[in-house]
Amino acid sequence: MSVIGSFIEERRVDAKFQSRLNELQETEQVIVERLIQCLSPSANTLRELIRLAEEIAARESRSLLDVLSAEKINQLLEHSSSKKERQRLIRQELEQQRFPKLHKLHAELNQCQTQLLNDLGLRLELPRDLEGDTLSLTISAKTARDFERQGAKITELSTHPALARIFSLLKGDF
Amino acid sequence: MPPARPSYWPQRVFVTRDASDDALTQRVLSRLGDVEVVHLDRRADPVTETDFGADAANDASRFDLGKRTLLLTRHEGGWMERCPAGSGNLVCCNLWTVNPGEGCPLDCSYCYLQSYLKRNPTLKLFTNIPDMLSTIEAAANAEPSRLFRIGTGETIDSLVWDPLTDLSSELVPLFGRLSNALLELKTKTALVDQLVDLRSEHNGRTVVSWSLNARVVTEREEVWTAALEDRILAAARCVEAGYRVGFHFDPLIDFDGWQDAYRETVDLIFASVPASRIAWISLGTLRYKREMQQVMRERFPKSTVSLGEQQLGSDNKMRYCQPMRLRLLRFMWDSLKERSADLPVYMCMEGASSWRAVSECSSSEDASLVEIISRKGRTDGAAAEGVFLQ
Repeated sequence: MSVIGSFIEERRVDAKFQSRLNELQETEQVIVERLIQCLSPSANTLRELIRLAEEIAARESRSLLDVLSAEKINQLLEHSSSKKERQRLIRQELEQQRFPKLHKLHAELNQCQTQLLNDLGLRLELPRDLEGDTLSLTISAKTARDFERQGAKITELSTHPALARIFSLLKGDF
Repeated sequence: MPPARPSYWPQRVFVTRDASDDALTQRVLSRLGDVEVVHLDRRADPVTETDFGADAANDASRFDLGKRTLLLTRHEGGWMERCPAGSGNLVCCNLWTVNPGEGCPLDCSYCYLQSYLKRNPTLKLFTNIPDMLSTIEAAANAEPSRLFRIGTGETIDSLVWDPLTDLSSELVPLFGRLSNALLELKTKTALVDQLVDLRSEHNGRTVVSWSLNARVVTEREEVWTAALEDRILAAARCVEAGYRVGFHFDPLIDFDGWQDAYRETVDLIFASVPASRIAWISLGTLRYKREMQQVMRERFPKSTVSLGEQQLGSDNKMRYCQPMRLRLLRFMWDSLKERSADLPVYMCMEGASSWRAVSECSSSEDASLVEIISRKGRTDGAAAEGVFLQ
C-alpha cells in the first residue's frame, strides 16, 4: 500500500480530504509522502499544511509541488529537531508566505515591544487581534518608591521611538 | 420597442398568485418577452423549494441557479429599516433602507449576498410597489422635522431592473415632492437614461451613487457590471441633468499595486465630475462571513480575492486586521481630500478608533459629516444644507 493510502487508513481522514489526497498528481504525491514520512502529521495538520500551500500556489500562480518542494521547506523537513517541532516550523514558514504583510507587521511590532522591554523593562500589550488603538501597560509596585521609579520609566516610554513606531504601525503605516 | 435583452436577465420567472395582476408584474413579464413563467400558489423561494437536482446540489450551484431565476411576489412586513451597519460598535451613517426586491443579477465575487441570501437565492422583485411608496411618504410626513436619507441599494442594485420596472420613474418624482427625504440610488450599472429624462422632477432630492473599485477589481471580480469608465460617464450625465452623485469604494481590496490602481479611479472621477456635485463618498474594506469563502472559491475559481490576507474576526467575518484596513482607508481618505478638502467622506463598517486614525477627528467633529452620521437627522442644522440641498 502507498504511503498516502496507509495514512488515509491509519488516520481519521474525512471524506473530503481523502478525496483531495486521492486526486493528487503523481509528482504531488511524492512531496506529500515526504511530508507524511518526515513529520508524521495528524490528518488535521496535514490538511492545514496542504491548504496553506494550495492557497499560496493559487495566489501566486504556482504549483502545489513548487510551493512544497521549495528549498526552505526542504531544509525544514531535514531539520534535526523533533517531528513536532518540524511541523511547527513548516507551518510557520507556510503561514509567513500565505500572510506576508501580516507577518512583516507582527515582526516589527514584536521588535518594538522587545526593544521597550530591554530598554525600560516595560511590557506593552497590543490591542487584541490588533483591533483598536489602545495600548495597555501593567505596573506592579511594592512601595511608593517603586511607583516613583515606574513613573520615571513611563515618562521615558512616552518619548521612546519604539513607542511612536508601535502607534504608527497600528495606524497602518508600514 | 422592447429594450435589448442583457445576458443577466432571468431565464425562468415564478409569479405568486397574489402578485399576478399587479401592474409591475404585467410590465416585467411583457418586457422580458419569451421566458418560461411558472405560477405559484404560495410564497416560497423557488430555488430552495423546488427539486432542481444536480443544478442545485450545494450552496454555490443554488446561488448560480438563483441568479438566473426571478420571483415576482408581494412584500409582506415593513418596508423601511435602519441600515444594519449601524449595529455593534460601528459608526453608523444614518441610512434607512427600502428594498424593492432582493438579490442582484450582477455577479461580484466578493458580494455578501452569497451568504446573506444563502437560503433564499432566487432574485425577487416586489410587486406591491404602491405600498412601498405610500410607506415612505407616510414616514416622511409623520416626522416633518426629521431628515430621512433612504437608499434602495442594500440587497439589490437600485437601477439594474429599471428597464423592466420603471421604478425610478416612480421613486424620483415622489422624493422630489418630499421636503425632508433624500433618495439614494446605488448601482454598478450605467442605466441612467430614465434618470436623465426625470431632470425636471428630481428637485435635488435624489443622489445617484456608484459603487467603484480599482479597474483590475472591476474587470476581474464584477461580472455583468458596467465598465469603470461607463459608470463615471453615467455619473457625469446625471450631474449634467442636475443630480448630485455619490461614490462608494467598497470593498477596498489589498493587492499588489493597489495604490496606483485606486489612484487611477480617483483621477477618473475628478476628470469627469466636479467635486461640488459629489454628495458623499464612502469607504469600506473587504469583509465577508467565513462560510462565504467556500462559495466564493467554487463560484469564482480564478478570483484571488479570498486568497488575500484577511483573517477571521470575533464576529465570524473575514477581514484584514485593523492596521491593514487603515492603510487602505487612509490612502483613499487622503487621496480624496487632496482633491477637495470639503468632500464629505465617510467610512462604512468601521469603529471609532478607525475614524480617529483616518480622519484625525471623530465622526461627530467634521461638520460636513454631521448630518450623514448623526442619528438625529434634524432639518434645522446648517450642516443639513450641505447634505440635503444643492
